[in-house]
Amino acid sequence: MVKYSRNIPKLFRRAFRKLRSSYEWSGLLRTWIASYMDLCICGFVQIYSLKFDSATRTISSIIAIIVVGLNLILPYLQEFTSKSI
Amino acid sequence: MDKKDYLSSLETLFYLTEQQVAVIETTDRITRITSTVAMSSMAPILLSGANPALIWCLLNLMQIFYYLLLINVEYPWNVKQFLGIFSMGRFQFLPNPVSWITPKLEEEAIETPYRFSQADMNSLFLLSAGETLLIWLLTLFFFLFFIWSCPTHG
Repeated sequence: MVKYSRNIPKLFRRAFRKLRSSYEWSGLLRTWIASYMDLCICGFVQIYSLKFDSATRTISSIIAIIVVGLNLILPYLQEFTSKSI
Repeated sequence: MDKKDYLSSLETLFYLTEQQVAVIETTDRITRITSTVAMSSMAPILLSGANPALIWCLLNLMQIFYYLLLINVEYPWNVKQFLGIFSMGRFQFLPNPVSWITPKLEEEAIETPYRFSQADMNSLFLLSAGETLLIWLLTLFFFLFFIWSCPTHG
């Protein structure tokens, strides 16, 4: 995969490098923070009425538990990342 | 025969004149257009790598306004209409990627607490948070693409 990435023109690669450094904080983490409340509300409403009677409902319940779990971990994750800088 | 007391709540009926409805609808339309323009300006700002701090603030503000609908208070019709505009902060204008995989997703809907169902939410996580998951996946895809295209920081 890395071999193919060398075929990208230098101009684009320079732009992508600049985007990458801003994306880590302004993109990935900020998207998570912005959608935090929405995901928490939807996740807790799903956990309030967990259902495992069909494949879709089972997957939805499991994803909700995972997402709520990740959201609860996020503050600690940010603490950890800010210490590592 | 035993005498029993029953408690039930009745929804308040608000009377609005035609003129008031017209004013509300105009305000609704103008706010909707403004919000759409503001939200559509988000993508180029994000992709150009410019500082998107203002956009995130706008998004947070929209979400805060929309979540006022979840407070256990019966709002008048015009307030509901107004707060409903801010559903854009929840990316509800985007398609739900889960419905591409399972087209009968709506049939799987679970009974939702009253206040949440009033705010167009469902207990089924994939149905109510599918749009947010799409944003997550897109952001992750772009991030992985940037990591792949330039493996070293700099």
